Amino acid sequence: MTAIVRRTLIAGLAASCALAGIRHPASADTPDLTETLLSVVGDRRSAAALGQSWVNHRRGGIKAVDLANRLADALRAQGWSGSNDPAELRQRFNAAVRADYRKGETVTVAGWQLARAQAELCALAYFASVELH
Amino acid sequence: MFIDGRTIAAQSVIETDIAIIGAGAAGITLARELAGTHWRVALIESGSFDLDDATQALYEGESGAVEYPLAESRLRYFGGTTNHWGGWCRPLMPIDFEGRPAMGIPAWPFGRAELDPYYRRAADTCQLNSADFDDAAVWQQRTGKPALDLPGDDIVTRFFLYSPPTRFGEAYRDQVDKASNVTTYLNSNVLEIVPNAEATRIERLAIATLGGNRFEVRPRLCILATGGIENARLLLTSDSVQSGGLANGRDLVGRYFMEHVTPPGQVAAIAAADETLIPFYYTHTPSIGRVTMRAIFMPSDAYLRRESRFGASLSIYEAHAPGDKSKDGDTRLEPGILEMLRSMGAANGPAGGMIYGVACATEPQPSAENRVTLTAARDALGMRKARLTWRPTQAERDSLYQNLVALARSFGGWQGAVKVAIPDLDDWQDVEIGWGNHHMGTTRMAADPSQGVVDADCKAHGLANLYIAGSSVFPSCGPVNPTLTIVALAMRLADHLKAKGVQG
Repeated sequence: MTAIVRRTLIAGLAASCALAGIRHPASADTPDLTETLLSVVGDRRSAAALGQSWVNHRRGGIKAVDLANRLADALRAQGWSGSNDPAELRQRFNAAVRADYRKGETVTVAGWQLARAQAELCALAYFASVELH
Repeated sequence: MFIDGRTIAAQSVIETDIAIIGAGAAGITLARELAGTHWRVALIESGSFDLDDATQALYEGESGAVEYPLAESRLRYFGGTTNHWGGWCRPLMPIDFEGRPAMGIPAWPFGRAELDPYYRRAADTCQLNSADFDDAAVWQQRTGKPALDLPGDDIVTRFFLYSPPTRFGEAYRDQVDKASNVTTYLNSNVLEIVPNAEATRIERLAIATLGGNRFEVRPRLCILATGGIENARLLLTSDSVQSGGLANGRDLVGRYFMEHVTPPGQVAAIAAADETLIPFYYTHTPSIGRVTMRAIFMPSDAYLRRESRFGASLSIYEAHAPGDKSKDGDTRLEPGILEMLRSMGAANGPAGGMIYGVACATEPQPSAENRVTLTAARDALGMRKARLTWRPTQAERDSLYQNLVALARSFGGWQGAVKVAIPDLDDWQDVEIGWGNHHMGTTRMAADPSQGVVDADCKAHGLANLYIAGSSVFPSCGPVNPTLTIVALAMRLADHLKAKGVQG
């Protein structure tokens, strides 16, 4: 098995697990929205590692439901219709990230200067992965 | 013609029209420019054609703040410091000439347009094979790739052209040798520039060899071209007539020393989800129409004015794979960063991406406290040694941090992410500091004698026949290497002399 194939399988497995994870009752009010948003993430494990670092170093508590709603608002501000179309989601997410950078809405994670939307999506991936366990 | 000063009869007096002290980038350029004129030119060089330990030791001195390698950062033989320079060439920007008084950066007495024709000629002297520095169309034509179009106007692509690097001593030795009106005196150290009793004109140069031979050169006009530290040292030691040193009536000689801080290691990292960063940003581009060039990022002039920042030259280097444990820094998060970029649609296909290091050189803030003075200790010739007191200002450090944040915003709005690798709000610790071995500003140029040592023509205020060449006359220096500007200014000085003539 090549490394690429193995990585693809692992990523697919992680995605399947995460899909199961968001059905956890703790986020029962946002599973569809969360899953929709996370559909733009190909490798949730990597995104979750980044999200975990941001969440752990962030001042104040943060809830997955708030993250999901805020991220959805940011995408809607960029014209997102709420559809599940991956291409549109990716386009709107890209626009939201650029808007954050333009407005200076950035966060610092171990020195990396990220758009707020990027950090929030990673944090969503992290919360979803936690719920797996 | 070359003459070894050790062979000149003791106590000889050599009459000449123009004496050039120092055969480095400025001195050799001046000699070449003045070759073929009706003037007798004496080019006076401390060393010979090769590095000599005893002569090089004449550069040793003391550090008053940052421990600075006074002897190692320059070379004292024919060709001067071009014998080990790296060849990075780039003109100063128009903003560098305009000055930003609120930031302590004085204006030059003239604008960039004044130097434009000389930059083109200097590019030829430095064997660049081009003078097209910031023409993106030329860049694309040569590389086949467009420059990155980063959003906004904060960070822009600029270009360095590389000299081979030209070793002036080797490249122009024959030309200087064959110039019938130029005589180069080797192993000849100027101990003092001696003026008349009124300290209004230079009368003679007291010269000695390390073996003890002494003689004089009596020039009608003298050009001091010994580098950014030694120019100040020689003026300060020339105090037999004017206490405090020559051209130093306002205590400006030696002050405003400038150096480009280049922090060791990476100041930032750039993540790109695919290998989308054009390779010419992180490597040279040899053999493209005989021009070697490299793209860098710089804060735009508009950004520098708007945000009141000092300039920076941000060069990209050494790509490595994400998570590479052999690299320093936090690599654990890199896969997540790259995944995030892929989520934006920035790259297709399997996981990959690259991490690039960012190195920088920063524009210094001129400070009167950063200066060359003299020690009580003396060198083998009996001259007082130089003491360099230099510490970058906190404003420079803060500006660097903000410039890197601006780089992060620009790349984030494009399709990358940036890690700022220097901490926010920290003092600028000595351990962070590296430098470019660029010595500038110690006899700075200003139309007003109360603000500078030389005027717009590089003539010392108050002295009718003393000129100064080299980076010591820079009132400000941007964030780029000085050699191209040194050569351009030397050419301009030669043209000035040709137009004005040599009086007296």
